[in-house]
Amino acid sequence: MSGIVGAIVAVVVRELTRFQRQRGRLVATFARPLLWLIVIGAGFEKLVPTEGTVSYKQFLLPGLYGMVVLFSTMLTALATVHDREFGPIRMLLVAPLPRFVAVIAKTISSALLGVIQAVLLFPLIWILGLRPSLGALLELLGAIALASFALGSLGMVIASRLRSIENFAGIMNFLMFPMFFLSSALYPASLLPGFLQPLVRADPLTYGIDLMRHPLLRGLYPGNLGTDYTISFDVLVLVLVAAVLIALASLLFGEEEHLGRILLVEPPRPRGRRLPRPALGFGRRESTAAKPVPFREASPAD
Amino acid sequence: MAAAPAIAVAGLGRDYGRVRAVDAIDLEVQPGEFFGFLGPNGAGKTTTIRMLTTLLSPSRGEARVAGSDVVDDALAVRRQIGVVFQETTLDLDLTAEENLRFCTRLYGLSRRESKARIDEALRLFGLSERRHARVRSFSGGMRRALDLARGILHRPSIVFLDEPTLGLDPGQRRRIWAFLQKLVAEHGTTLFLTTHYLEEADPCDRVAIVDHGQIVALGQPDELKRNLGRDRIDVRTERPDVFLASVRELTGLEPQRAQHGLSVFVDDAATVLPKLLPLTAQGAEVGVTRPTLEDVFVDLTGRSREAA
Repeated sequence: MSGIVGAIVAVVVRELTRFQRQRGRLVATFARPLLWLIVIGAGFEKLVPTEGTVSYKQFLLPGLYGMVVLFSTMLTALATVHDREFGPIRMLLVAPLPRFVAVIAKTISSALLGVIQAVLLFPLIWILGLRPSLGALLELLGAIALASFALGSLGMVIASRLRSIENFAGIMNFLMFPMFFLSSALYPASLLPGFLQPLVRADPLTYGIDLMRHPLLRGLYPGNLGTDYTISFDVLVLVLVAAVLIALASLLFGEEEHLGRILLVEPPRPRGRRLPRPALGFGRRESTAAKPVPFREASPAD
Repeated sequence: MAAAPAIAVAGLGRDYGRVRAVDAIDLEVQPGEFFGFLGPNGAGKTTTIRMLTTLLSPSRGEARVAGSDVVDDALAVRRQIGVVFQETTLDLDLTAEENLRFCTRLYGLSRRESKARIDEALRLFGLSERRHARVRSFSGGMRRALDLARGILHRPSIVFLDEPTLGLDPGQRRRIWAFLQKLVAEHGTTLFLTTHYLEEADPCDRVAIVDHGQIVALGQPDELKRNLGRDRIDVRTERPDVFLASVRELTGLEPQRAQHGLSVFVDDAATVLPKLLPLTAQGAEVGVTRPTLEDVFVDLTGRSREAA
């Protein structure tokens, strides 16, 4: 158990140290959501007639926290692919720890980075004229943490299946953007047409952003710009998603044949020649070593 | 009764789809042995190391490391081993010390123990001065030394090193070998090392030479070389074809093609060398040297490593 904690601490410290030294990442944290808020937020505010006391920018803010968390966790997932081949995750895979420790450690640090980046954008809450109570702020923090954890575990499932980080463009176009647009970040999920509803509901970000929106818009009259689900339903879905995906990532992480063995697709390993117990010496082979030893024909794996 | 072997392998093989990367390997490594696993690129060295370190499951056969099966009891194996991968696993944005600390945390060492081990490892590998420098500023040799330091920080009884000298200049390579010999001498660690630089494996207690996923020779480096003959006579020429027949005729031995021209292996150069001196009149240079492990490989496979 202490080994597991040690490994998680090792990975978290490493990720935080790296984050703090990568200035570019910090700049991107601020640049992307601010761009959306200032440009898209301003444009939509003119288009969207508000029925309540919530401005479009105030409605958009939790969506931007969702975006920060989404990008952060997916970037961490892609970095994990690299770390597994050329980085410290390899050390983890040969350390005396079960595979799931690597997954949990990476998910926790991924979630932590998401939370930190979102918190750095907390001043926007007051800039946009929202005045949440301390309790509501803590609730928001919890919502961001839970959403980060769920998306972080999704990231680990993706990382476990990727062999190289060249697929980044694919992930961005076919996963991150659809997840963002379907998620109720930009408009209440209920406004989207019926044929899109299954996708909206399958998107964990929908529940994450909904959960963040609850504390921020509490006490205001949202009108057409409100939340879609209850807090308890959001929490339930996110917890389930995180649990299932972490379990799945733990099964998939590591070597490609693990999945085969788990699904019983791979036949049991043929044992050909067995090692004697205790094993015997190999003097015979040494004495004939210098000349090519006639090796037994490669037998088909039977 | 002899001590239980550190590594025992029987019929171990691995396929990637229809490609047979490792055919059927049998070998045994004793505790405290410095074992070299040599062969050209693509011979199956890395695949074998990945199987022995529980990163890849075998397609057939069996392997026990420190007495535990690499598939059925992978955690027990990982408790005993240290691994230095072919590619560096260092974090370039972290300092040398931070990289090492990652490892001591991973293995749950106490703060005090962790500091002592890090101090010792940095001293052993001559990196104490660069303790707080980011690894990005390190030379290739220093990075590799730090990789080695990290692989042994938790004091494993068996260390696997995959091409630890790859991409290093000769001076750096010698330093790495010196570190490894010190490690075996001071800690009694079992080392299992792969390299495709056959000529540098002489410090190993025993070597296995692999080709096409099979072991073609296994023994002490000296013993393998002695089997070829005590001396190697080189006929240096740019036109080996021209001299092939005359060398055969003059010595009665079958010459081997080499980068420098032709070589013949003899037990006593003094008796054979004079017979080849006439060739110098035709523009070839004749000289005597010792056989190398490279020669053993060429002799066994009939081709040079470069051509492999």
